[in-house]
Amino acid sequence: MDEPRGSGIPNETCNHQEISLADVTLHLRADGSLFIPQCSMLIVSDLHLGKDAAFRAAGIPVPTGINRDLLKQLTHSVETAECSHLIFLGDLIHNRNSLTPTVIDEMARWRKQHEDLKVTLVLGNHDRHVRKFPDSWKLETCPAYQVNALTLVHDPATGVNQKAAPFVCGHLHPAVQTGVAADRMKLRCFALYPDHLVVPAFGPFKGGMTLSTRKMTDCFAIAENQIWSVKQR
Amino acid sequence: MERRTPSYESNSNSKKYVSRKQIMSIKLVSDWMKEKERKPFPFQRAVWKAMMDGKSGLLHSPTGTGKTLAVWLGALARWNAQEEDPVTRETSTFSSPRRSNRNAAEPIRVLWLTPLRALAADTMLALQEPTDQLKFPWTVERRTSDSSSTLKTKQKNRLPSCLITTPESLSILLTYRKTHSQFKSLQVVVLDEWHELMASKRGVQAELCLARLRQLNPHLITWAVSATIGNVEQAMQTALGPRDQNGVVVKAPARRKLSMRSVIPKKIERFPWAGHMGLKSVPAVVEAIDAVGSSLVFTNTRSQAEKWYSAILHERPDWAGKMGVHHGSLERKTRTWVERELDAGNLKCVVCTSSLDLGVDFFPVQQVLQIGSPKGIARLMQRAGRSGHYPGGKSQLVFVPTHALELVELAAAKDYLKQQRIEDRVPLMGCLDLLAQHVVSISCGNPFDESQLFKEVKSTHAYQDLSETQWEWVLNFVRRGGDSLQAYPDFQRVVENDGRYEVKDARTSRMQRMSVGTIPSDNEMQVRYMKGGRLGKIEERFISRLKPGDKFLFAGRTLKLVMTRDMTVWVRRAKGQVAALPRWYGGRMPLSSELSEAVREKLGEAARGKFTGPEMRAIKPLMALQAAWSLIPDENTLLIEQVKTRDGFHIFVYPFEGRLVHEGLAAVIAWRIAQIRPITFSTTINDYGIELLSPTVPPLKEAMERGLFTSVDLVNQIDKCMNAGELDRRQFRDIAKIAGLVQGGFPGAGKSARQLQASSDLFFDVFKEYDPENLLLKQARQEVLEYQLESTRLATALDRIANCRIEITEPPKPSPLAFPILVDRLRMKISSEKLADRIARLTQQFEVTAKKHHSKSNP
Repeated sequence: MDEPRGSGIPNETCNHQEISLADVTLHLRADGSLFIPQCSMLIVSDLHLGKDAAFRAAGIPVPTGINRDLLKQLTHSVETAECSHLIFLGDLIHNRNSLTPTVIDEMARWRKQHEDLKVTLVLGNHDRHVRKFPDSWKLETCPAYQVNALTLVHDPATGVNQKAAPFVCGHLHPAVQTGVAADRMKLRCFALYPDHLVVPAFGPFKGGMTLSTRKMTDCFAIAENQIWSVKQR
Repeated sequence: MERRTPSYESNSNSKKYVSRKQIMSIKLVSDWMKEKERKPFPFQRAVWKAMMDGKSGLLHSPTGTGKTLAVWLGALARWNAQEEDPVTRETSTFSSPRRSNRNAAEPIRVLWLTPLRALAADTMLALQEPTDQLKFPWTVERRTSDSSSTLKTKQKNRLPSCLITTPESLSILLTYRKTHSQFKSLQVVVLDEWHELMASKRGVQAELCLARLRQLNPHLITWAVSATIGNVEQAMQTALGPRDQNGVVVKAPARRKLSMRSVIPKKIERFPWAGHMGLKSVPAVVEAIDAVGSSLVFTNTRSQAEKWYSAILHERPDWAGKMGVHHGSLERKTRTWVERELDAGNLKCVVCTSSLDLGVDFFPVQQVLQIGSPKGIARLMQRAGRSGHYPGGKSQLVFVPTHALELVELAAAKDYLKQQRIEDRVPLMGCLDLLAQHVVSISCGNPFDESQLFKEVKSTHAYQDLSETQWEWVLNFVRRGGDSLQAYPDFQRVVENDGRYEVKDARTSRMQRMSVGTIPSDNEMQVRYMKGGRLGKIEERFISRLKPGDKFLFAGRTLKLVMTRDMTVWVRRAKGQVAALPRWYGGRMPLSSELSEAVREKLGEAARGKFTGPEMRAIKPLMALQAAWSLIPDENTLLIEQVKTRDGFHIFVYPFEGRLVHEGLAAVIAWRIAQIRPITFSTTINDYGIELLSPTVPPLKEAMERGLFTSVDLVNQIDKCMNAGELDRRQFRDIAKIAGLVQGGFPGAGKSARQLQASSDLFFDVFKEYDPENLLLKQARQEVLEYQLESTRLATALDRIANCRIEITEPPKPSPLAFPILVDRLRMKISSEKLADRIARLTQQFEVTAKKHHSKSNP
């Protein structure tokens, strides 16, 4: 797996594309988050908090600072979206070695700064490593979340198996290959299929899986605070 | 490296052997050779003498055999002469071999390092014969990643008297405490095919291990065995370490004649037909193969090997079962079968890549065919030397050009071969990734003292200039994960205790052993039949483009993709010819600077109207067209062509310096032109020149006035273009693997191991952002500059260009010289199946223009 580029901290404003799925209006934001205006809800997926710590614990030297930036980006997204409800769409943490005191503490402090926010975690496959999340994080957890006709799940396979369509999911860390020859780039993207939407992984130090756009209804690549459709018609 | 080395040429046995035992031992081995009807050559005696004197050195020869025996018998004789109770003529019968008991045999005496594990098996047979027949109480064993675990355990407890292994396996052996101390009894290290190893990171790994072994036994002698290269002196000093000033160079003369000819197509089209891999010449190649008993067909890439194999088989279906394909991505079993059958004389031909460049000689091979550019004079010689190993045989090479201009290359190579001007192999310097790996390895085997190890490391050629700061950084890297100022909490690989460094954690040692053997390669996937048989490995990037049901060519078969799961590509046999061709993203070899120079000289001759030899005469019409449309550049001319086509504005520059230099040069000149005003270029390069394509008119004249080709501020500017480019990111891949960032995971570790896998690209981004001073990043940049872009060679090239006359022409269409570059660009854009059609159309289109032009100038 190669990695997509352009996971830097976004600028002042946040560009977005508007689509609608199951009659719910969705804002696909250039920072990789998804906003639902009708219930003031912001969705971010696959944060993998403490991924760096997990690597270090295994003897692979990854520098610190990634979590800090991740939370900074999250703050920025939450503030520009002016949302009242934040949803983590699974894989909030990376693995059991990720919950170091520093990570717990950083997240707790972030939570304290955003006390009024309602925060829900839709459980993902990585989250099973944790029996109970720290109380200081003030999370509600659930296997899936319902917004009108739209279901929010982590893994697209779960969505399909449970016949939950139309649904919004994460898990895949979707990316798309654009450009030809020397201009070829791999970018994170929102992948829109007829009955579901895949949200990109939020924040730095994330891998990406290149998806074919063949079966997609549309594909929105993001980089440097830009979002644009790259599906060839 | 100007020091004069004492010459041990053939008959300089002036100094007498000191002891009776020495004389007796030498006589013993030479008698054994005579018994085998192989009279010792003077060069072999010279090696024996030098070894008896306790000297290290290097033995080289252009082709031919006898190098192995020279070094091996020398080592045996030296050991024998030092024994209390030596083996004598009376005690050895020269027949009825007797194997020695493992535990009663001699401890480790000789270490034989080979670059390819494939060579180990054959080397073992070659070494075993004299040992057994002379009744030496020795055991000869090999240890590679293929060895069984029972044998590996036995070897850990007691090493054989002679161990044949690879640098990786040696490095792993040094991580075991028990094995580490056994190396004290080692007397001789042999570095086989040293020319292959020395210019690579594995060579550096060998240097580091050798430094350790010398520490354990200061009287250890080192012998490197090499093909002839331009810098034998330096090669020797790299093997011996800069401190040993008594090394000797022994030259073994070539014993076989070499003949070369080219397949020249009956009709040379006006335009060089690049792109379809030279398949036009298949009938001629088949004819050449048919004419002799057995042939090796060398190609430059694995894809080309696959394509050619199927093309030849298509032409001659009756050769099924009498042909083989051989390249590095095929399953070991398949390759062994091909080698065995070839050796037995059962194969008509084998299509192969550099995977068969080295190794034991296959006696039945009568001729070698080289498809496409030989890239270098040494390489051409090496490949040609793979044929004619039967008594009275001579090496025969048939050159098959894939485009007309390659004929110039062969003509040029012939010239330089006559003058014995052969390329250098340049050893690497100061790779911190390897050093970090080595430090962890050593501290697994034995706690070490920091200052002592520093001295030891500095005694190698690669690290002789290592600074204390760099050393400090490496120590910090293995201990804390990075610079001491940078926080890497929870990280620990090596523990410091009172100035002694050690790996305490068994898991770390295990991980280390796993990762030492990793040969950097892209994500590869196993290819297997649905029934289970393994075929080899293929890159993930290629497979990801296919969908189930798609056909592709691999291991000489047409396969249908069934599914991909768990890093395995499941396939079925398929029928039919239409199939995708796998691509491996291995580095493409550049034209060597010697061959580049030779090509410039040949073109110079052409410019003056001189066409000698069949190759040059064949391309005369093509050169005439080049001269009519543009001009033929001679040695002192740099040709620039400006052409406008439907695609945009092309600038072609022809420095003839090889693709690596061109890659850097293209980036620099594109950057320099773009400084004048905003413009976008897409660049393409090949071994001859550069193409810059832009949608708007580039300000070339202005750029020339500002010094487009100056070498002033070069490194700085490359650095700037590289920030935009992706080069150091690419280079970082290998570094990350060697330094232990990217982990393969344990066998059977399953899915949870994947949580600890991130690709080097990701590490690159993270380091850049969060630890920009990381020396591994700097190393990546430096390696890009030195080895990837050959910045030294680039500067030399620019200095040469500075003395050139620059000619700018405006041909009506891309000229014959431009055509191969143009096709290269197409190759990147469009899918492989339709390429042939597209080229055909292009050729046709150009032919029409050429005819019009022709009729206009000659009414």
